[in-house]
Amino acid sequence: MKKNSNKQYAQALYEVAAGLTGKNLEQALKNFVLLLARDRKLNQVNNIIKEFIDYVDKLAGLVKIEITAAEKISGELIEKIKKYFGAKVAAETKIDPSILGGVKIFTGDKIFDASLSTQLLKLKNKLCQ
Amino acid sequence: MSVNSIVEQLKKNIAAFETKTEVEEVGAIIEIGDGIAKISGLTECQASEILEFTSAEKGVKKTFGVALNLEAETVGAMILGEYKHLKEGDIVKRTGRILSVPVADEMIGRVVNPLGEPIDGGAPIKTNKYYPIEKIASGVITRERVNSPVQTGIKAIDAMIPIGRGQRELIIGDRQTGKTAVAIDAIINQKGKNMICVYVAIGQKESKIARIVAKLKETGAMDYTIVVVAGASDPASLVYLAPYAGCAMGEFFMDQGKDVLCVYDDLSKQAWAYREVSLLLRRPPGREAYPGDVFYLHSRLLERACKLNKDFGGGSLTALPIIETQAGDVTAYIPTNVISITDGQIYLETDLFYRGIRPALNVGLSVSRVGGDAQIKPMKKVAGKLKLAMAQFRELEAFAQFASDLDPETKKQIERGTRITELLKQPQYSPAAVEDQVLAIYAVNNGYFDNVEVAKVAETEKKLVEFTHRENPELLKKIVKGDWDEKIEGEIKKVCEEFVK
Repeated sequence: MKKNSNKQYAQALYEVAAGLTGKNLEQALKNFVLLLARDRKLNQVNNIIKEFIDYVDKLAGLVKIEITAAEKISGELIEKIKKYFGAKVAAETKIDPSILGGVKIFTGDKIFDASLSTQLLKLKNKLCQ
Repeated sequence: MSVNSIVEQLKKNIAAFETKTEVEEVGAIIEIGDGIAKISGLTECQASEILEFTSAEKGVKKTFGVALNLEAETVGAMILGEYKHLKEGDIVKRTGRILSVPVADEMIGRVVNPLGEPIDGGAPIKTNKYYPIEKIASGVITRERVNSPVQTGIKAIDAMIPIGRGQRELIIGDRQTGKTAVAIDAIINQKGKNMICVYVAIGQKESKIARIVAKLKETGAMDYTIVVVAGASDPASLVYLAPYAGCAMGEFFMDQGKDVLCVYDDLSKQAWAYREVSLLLRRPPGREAYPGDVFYLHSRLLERACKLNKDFGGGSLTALPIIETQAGDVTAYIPTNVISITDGQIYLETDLFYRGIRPALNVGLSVSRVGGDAQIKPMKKVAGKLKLAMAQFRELEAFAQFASDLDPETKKQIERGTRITELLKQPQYSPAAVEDQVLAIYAVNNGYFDNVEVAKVAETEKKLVEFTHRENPELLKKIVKGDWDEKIEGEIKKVCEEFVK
């Protein structure tokens, strides 16, 4: 039998648990944990929880972005960047001096790279030709 | 160039430089090991696209991989080269390029790896032309029948198992039977024959490769040869790609209307490498644990050998794949596959090798299905008789071991047969010109060697060739041109008669 991925467990849990309350929800969660135990997946619980949160966010249309800058950036700028990615955006910021300047934005499986270090690298490659 | 102009140039370049935000599609490594990575993300990834792995560690050379398995959630990729520094969670970027190799005229005479990077310590190869490693073979409309010969310089092959330009001729045999020697002799003999050779060493000992390259240099064959190396210590991914890379480099010259000879030494090792990669990618194993598409692995490679017609440049790519058998077993999986794909095989045997018949060619089991059309006319005429005499000899030889009294006719055939066998022996690295071959075969066929001792056949052949070069060089030129009529036959006869006297 093909093994299920963490993502599949998270999706299954969401579909089962959606709309349930009180006793029923408790029962569903209990069954889910038993299922994980049977499939020997308990060591993956943290990853499954992460996948679950990602899945819920995705359904809610929430876009997660991670902004990396060389120095601390102002809230105003973050708001400006957020606008590009739609209405519901959750932004995290990170500081990495090695990019020298500009910003790098991660979202899902894309990187928008407007950092100074990358630009300089490109310039170097061009001049070396 | 003065300093000022350099500064000006730089200024101009910098001014022209556009700052653009790069959008890159990325994924992350979920699992890595044995040269295979499982990657999450990369939703738009194409099959056999090059992926760039960026390590968290600084100052490490870029690592590339190829996407092979595109699954619902993940991408399975094989890594080209070193992977020890990569870790779970490292970022993988798409490059948008399908796996390809650089191609250029400067590659001739170089030793390169399957990615087209020189590994002979020479200058980097500068080119902006790339050929995809995997390419669909030329179609029916572009092709033409095989019509001109590849002279291997080996008497037994050129006479009885002729190879044509655009043919795929398998060289098969156990270890230590001289398979590589046949291929290398064929490459050496292409000197001045307007042929570009690609020798692909697949999973071989570096020492053997070094010896071959030295030999090719010594004989001047490196001037028209590219050596593609994926050694025994290279990862399976490179070993698997090597023949396709070599073929792509050959196709570059074929598309220019040139003739190319590609030697794949050897494809059984490539099949092992592909089996390794496939099993690690968790593709289901089949017979002998090879994956289901191992036939396609070889057929798509060998199908790329072809003879293009005039409208498409008239180039050709001849393939000489090599397969190693275990204890003479040609019914194993890979040998049967490749035998059925190719246009004939040269079968080398251990027994013959140790009996001193070298090249250790089994004349009965070796065939060429299309090369006969490509032989030059004089060779076709004399070789027809040779084949017949050899077939009769083989039949009588076994029988004659038991019988003590033989009638004179049988005895004569056996005598003739032993002399032909002796004539077809040939030391390594000494290819014979086609006109000399025709002459010698004519002489032995028509009984001019019957009075020569068996041990002295080689010596006498040499003398005959020298004699003819001295006495009647015009005749040899006519043979090379491919002319054959009664007059020429008469002249050969005259030369032989004079020589015997």
